[in-house]
Amino acid sequence: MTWENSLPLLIVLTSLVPGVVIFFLKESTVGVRTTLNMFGAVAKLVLIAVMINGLLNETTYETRLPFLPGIDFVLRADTLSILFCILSAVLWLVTTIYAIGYLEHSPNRSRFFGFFSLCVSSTMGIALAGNLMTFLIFYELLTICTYPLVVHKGDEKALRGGRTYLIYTLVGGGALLLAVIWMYAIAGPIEFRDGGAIDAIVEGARGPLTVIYFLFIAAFGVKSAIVPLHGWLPRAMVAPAPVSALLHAVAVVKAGAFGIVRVTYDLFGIDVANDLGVLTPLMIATSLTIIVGSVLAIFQDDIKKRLAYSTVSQVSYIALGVALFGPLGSIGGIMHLVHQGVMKITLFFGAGSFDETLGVTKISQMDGIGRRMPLTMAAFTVGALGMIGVPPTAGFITKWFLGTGAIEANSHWVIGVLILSSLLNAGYFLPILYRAWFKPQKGDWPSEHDFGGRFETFWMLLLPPVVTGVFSILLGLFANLPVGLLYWVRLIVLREYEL
Amino acid sequence: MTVEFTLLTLTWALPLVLGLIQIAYRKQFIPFGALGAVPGLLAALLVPEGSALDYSSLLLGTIFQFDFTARMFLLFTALLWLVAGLFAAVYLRQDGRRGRFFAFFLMAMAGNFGLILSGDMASFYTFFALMSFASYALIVHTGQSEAFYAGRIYMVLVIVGEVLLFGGLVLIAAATGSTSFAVIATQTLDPLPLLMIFASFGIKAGVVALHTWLPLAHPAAPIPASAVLSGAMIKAGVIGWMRFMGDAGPDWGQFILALGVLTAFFGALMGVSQVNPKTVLAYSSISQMGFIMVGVGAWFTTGRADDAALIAIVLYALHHALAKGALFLGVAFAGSGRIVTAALLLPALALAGLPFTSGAVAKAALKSVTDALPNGLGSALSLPLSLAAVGTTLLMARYLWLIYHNPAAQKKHPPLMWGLWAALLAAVALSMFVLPEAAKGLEKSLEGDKPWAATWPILLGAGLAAVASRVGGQLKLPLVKPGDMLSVYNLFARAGVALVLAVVRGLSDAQNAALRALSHADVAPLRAALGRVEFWVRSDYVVAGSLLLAITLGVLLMTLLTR
Repeated sequence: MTWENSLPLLIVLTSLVPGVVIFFLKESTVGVRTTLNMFGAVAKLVLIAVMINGLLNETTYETRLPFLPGIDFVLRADTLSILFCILSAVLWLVTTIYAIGYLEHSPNRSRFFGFFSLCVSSTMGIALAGNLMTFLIFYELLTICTYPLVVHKGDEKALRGGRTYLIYTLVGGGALLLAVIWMYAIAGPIEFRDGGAIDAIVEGARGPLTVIYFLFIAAFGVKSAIVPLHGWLPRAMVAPAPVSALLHAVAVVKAGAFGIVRVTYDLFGIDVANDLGVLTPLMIATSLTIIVGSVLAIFQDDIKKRLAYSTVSQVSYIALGVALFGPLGSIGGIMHLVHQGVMKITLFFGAGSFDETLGVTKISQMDGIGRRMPLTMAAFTVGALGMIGVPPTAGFITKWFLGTGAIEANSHWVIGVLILSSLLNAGYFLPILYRAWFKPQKGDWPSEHDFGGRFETFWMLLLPPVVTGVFSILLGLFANLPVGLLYWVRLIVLREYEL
Repeated sequence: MTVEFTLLTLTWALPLVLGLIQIAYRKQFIPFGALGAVPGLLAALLVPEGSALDYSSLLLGTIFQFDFTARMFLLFTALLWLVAGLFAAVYLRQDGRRGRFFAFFLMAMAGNFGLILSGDMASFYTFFALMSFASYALIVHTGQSEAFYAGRIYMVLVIVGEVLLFGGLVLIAAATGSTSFAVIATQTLDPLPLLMIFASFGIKAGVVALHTWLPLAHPAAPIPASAVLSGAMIKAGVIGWMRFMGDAGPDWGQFILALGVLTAFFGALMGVSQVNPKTVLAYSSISQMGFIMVGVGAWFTTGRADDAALIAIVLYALHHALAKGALFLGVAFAGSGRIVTAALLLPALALAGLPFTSGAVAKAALKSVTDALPNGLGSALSLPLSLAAVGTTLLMARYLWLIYHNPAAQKKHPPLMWGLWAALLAAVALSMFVLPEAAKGLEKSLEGDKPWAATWPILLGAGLAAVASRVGGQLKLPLVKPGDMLSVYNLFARAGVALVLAVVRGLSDAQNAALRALSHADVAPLRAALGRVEFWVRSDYVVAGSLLLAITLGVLLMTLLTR
């Protein structure tokens, strides 16, 4: 095996191996566990950096192993997979730091970090999967190794949340399996390719292909929480904050959204999808989700629940961008893969820190919290403004491309959806900011925890939200940087549209 | 690094950085942070028109253009922010929260300066948002419940304005293929984006029916903040119209013109019975923005070609900024004796347009523009504009009366406060004589019957005010609550919210019923099995993990072997 064709596998293994080793570690071996975690996270980043460099020089990275007769196990790096890899790797690193701080002194940490690493390995696998079968394997693996994280607390409520999660995702997985098998049956051993892989068989199979597409959407719609398949997400909020953060920003929800992107662009091809007429239903479904998610968010007092419904709404921006036929909409959707991740993880880090430091879990308890935890709340504020789409945050750039993309796709009404969504986002985020910054504190905090030190909270709980908060601004402020995210996403879109 | 680049960059960056430093160290206070406005003032005086900057990496490719409009707007904006900021440092000297105040004051300043310089829609939008959000903190600064109420109304309208602006700029960008104002200026845009843009900036500028936040918010802020809100920030709406609306054409021009006249009357009518001098001034700002709208309307009517209209707009904006700033700062000295009321006569009469004041020059410039309008518009506008000046006089009389009769016993004010106010008064008195653009206007304002045309509305207004002060004693004031139409809007808003609530409650009831029905279904065996798996995974995760590992490795091994 050469370097070029082992690198994708190595990227998966850099978290898989530490994860498995961690299972066998005693609870008390904090040092070894932390070293393993951090080593894996940093090694992964280095490998991805190497791969980006190679891709810019037109090197092909592909791990291909024979798997089933005619179907290989393929991990391949392309511009789109790199985007998801780098997002996951960076956010995994900060979330690991956060999780170490968050779970200090709590039980079952080996189990937690073991599955945590497996979870990221699966995400990497999903990102790099070169064909449907490989994608399916990692997608199901992700479902399974996330479950122990969701039920980590182990109480009745957690178990109930976990059960709901499993039922939803396993049914979604079933739908995916069906779609994959059907696809292989009519198209043969195809692999993901820029611009689509099924051009040759479209004629004569339009009906089945349309059904298959909707099966895919239904399957991915569970994880990416498209209404009415979103029911598990708010209930999975019983998970510890770092899990919710990772779940919402990178792993589960994002995997679903990534699946929609992958299948639409690299399996069907955007032209074929447009030709089949499946994009308009997707556009309507995602628009509905955007509105319904936001409306439901308004009624939540629990911080994490409100954030969960906000995720329901925001993740659909990605699929909406996919559904808007035209390069601008695609840019908006694919960029939001990254933007939503960075902004939402900031919000969840903040929510977790409020809980760990002050015992604050409800919005009604947040009065005056800005004075007690200014840096955390500042990061939270950036995330919230980003969700509304206020410039110069990353959220504005997304909205810009989705808006111009809507016109390009001749669907002007989508601008109305974006506007309504911004209004609703403002409706449920600004009151939080108002309470936090402008209202005086109401009595004692529910359960204040003194971490000592000179910061408002333990540094491991403070650094991650500040870092991602800063990123949320930089991604918007320097959007047009010659080597930035926008450049990379343009590369992806140019290839998908074969321009 | 040229001088232009440095000055123009510092114009927005210095206040922003100072603001961020101040917010990081809220407990300490940067005494003369308002000096952050100095680069802006220097830029307005020194940087030649036509300079342009390109920060291509920022946002969607940011450009700055320093044209005549930008230079003139920056001139009065920077001057007013500088004076008000220094004034605030003294005025709030005993305020425990002045650190926070100045942090947001500086950020709003950065936003206001930045949007004036912006040459593209995305950066304008960004600076506009910065200014709008930062000024919330200025409005609610006193922490009183009225301030928070005003802040809430303000925030709702800010958000509505933001999303309208977003919709408008996306539509414009898609239609013109550009975000640059230089390109947009020559384009004819669709009615929908034009309407969105007009309404969005109309909220900031206080156009009638979109103005309801203004009489609440401008007075709620501490005096120096009111001065910049009502003097400088309100004009962001005007420059917004001029930048975004492209070549809007005569129809839009006349629409804006008509709405301007209406706004001028409406502001005066609603303001004249108010009991708080700052509320009177806020309504006066609405009324004065009506005059500026007449200029903007005329400018669009002539296809943006009429430089005289452009000059009239900026002269009026400059005149109003300085005069309104002086009037607001004057509120701080209310009850300090007759000399204050006498000094306030200068900006008050300037606003009414007395000959030899800045107001006369601005109004003359405006009048020469409207007179030249086609289709008899000029003569049709003549009387309404004079009558609106009667309204201005009444407002000013009301304001002076309230200041004069202010009962509050006053402590001594530091000399620096007096000095700054005096400086601003001097600027009001002299601005029209030192600006080359205004010199011609001054001559024009003294031609023919113009002095009389400017004076009779003031005499009439003063007479009416004298009568009103005798007759109006029995009336319960104010006749109209500040915010006037707001109560109607609130009614609609409440009805809307109730409707949404009802729908959501109904849906969630239905969902709960469905879930209850489902949970009664017989799934006990499945649940038991799941429970066992759950227990096993939790208690014996090492086994589970190993198994997972074994499966993974097995699959890998198999694939390797079968090669």
